[in-house]
Amino acid sequence: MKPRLRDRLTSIAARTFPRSHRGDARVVRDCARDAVDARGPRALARESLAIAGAGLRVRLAMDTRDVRGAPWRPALAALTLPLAAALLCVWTFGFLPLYDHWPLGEGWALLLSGSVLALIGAAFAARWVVLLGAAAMFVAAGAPYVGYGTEKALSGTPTFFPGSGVDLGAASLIPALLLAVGALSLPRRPQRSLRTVLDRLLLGLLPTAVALVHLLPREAPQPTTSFVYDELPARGSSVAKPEVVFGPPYEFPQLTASKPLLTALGIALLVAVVLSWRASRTRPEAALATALVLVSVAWPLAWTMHGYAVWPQIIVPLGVAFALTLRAAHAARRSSGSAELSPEPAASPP
Amino acid sequence: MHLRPASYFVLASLLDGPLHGYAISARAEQLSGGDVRLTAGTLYGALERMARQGLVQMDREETVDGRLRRYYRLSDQGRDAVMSEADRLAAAARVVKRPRPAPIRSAV
Repeated sequence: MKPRLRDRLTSIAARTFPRSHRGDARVVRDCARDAVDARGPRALARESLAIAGAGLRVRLAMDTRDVRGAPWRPALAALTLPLAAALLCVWTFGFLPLYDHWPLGEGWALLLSGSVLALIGAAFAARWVVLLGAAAMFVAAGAPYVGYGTEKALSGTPTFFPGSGVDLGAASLIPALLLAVGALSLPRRPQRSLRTVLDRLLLGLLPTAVALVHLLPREAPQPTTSFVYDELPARGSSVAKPEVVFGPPYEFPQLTASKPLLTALGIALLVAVVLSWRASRTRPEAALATALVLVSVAWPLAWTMHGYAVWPQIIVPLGVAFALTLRAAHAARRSSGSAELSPEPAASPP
Repeated sequence: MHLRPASYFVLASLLDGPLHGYAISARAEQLSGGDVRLTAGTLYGALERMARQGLVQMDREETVDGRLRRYYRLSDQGRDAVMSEADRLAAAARVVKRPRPAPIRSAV
């Protein structure tokens, strides 16, 4: 048995222990070396694997403890404004280019008023207002999927989100739920100043303002074109001659996949990830909030990345969210300086 | 408190006094007739759990030939636990080994 191989393998395995448990790692490693010396080289692989397993178990226990103790409530409260702003921007993108109908359908009325309400509530840190707005959006976006409003022809439903690209209606369901949970995490009696509220309101309206600049002035809506077949194809001919009918502009709202919107949302997410990753030591709640939003949109994001499927691209947003969560949780534990999380002498290894 | 076989033999190995990691492992293997073979990693987990339960306590640390060794000793609670388990096992063994009355047959 070459001592160098033994030392190298056991040292590598001991690196699975977290830094805060270096002393424990050394004791376990040296214990394993004693065992390999006594039992022979056949014990080396078994001992090395056991060291690695023990280190990973310690790491898992620490991570679980840190994640449980992470500042989830402030994180949920922190995501209300950006999430409400993003949802208002999404609905604006869906509403402006295609809608040419008055009065509003109940779906659009709920979506637009809900997102505006949520944004105002987030600016004022008013939990029930945000909750009401989020609930309105959730109901409006989810209603067609449980059959509400689809008793008419599919194209005539008050709100329906075609799934040919990204079904933004379905994609907004989990973020709307997350917004509702975030609303409940807002403080019951927030300390708000007029300046702060105005700043938050302006910040929240900024994405929609940019969207309006992009979308307006919109093109005149195109009339719908219908092909009417009055008779069966003539004998020997495979195609019947249709009568082309030009109708009024398409009056029902749709939210089709929009490349600029998806690109903007992707860039916003990327910026949020980078900024909150860098600031996670000082503001762990921001990193946790970004992770939560990433998880809530992981499915449509992966769908967009792949083109028409989710696997395996969904690993990317979920993996980034996981890394953000761990980083923020560790940072929160370190910043709180909680002595109870450091290893106790009684729980030390052999 | 019911002890797993590995925990039972780890505690039993400490009955004669404090031992360090590998010595505990070797003693447990000897006492169990080779049935319990603990790697350093497994022993680490077992001792950590038993320390949390108050069954063992750290005694001291020493560096021998450049290797760090941490010694453990039984706590009073650990001594009681291993003794209780020994009594329970002995009682269970007696049930099997003593002469038994004929089984009761139900009259059908």
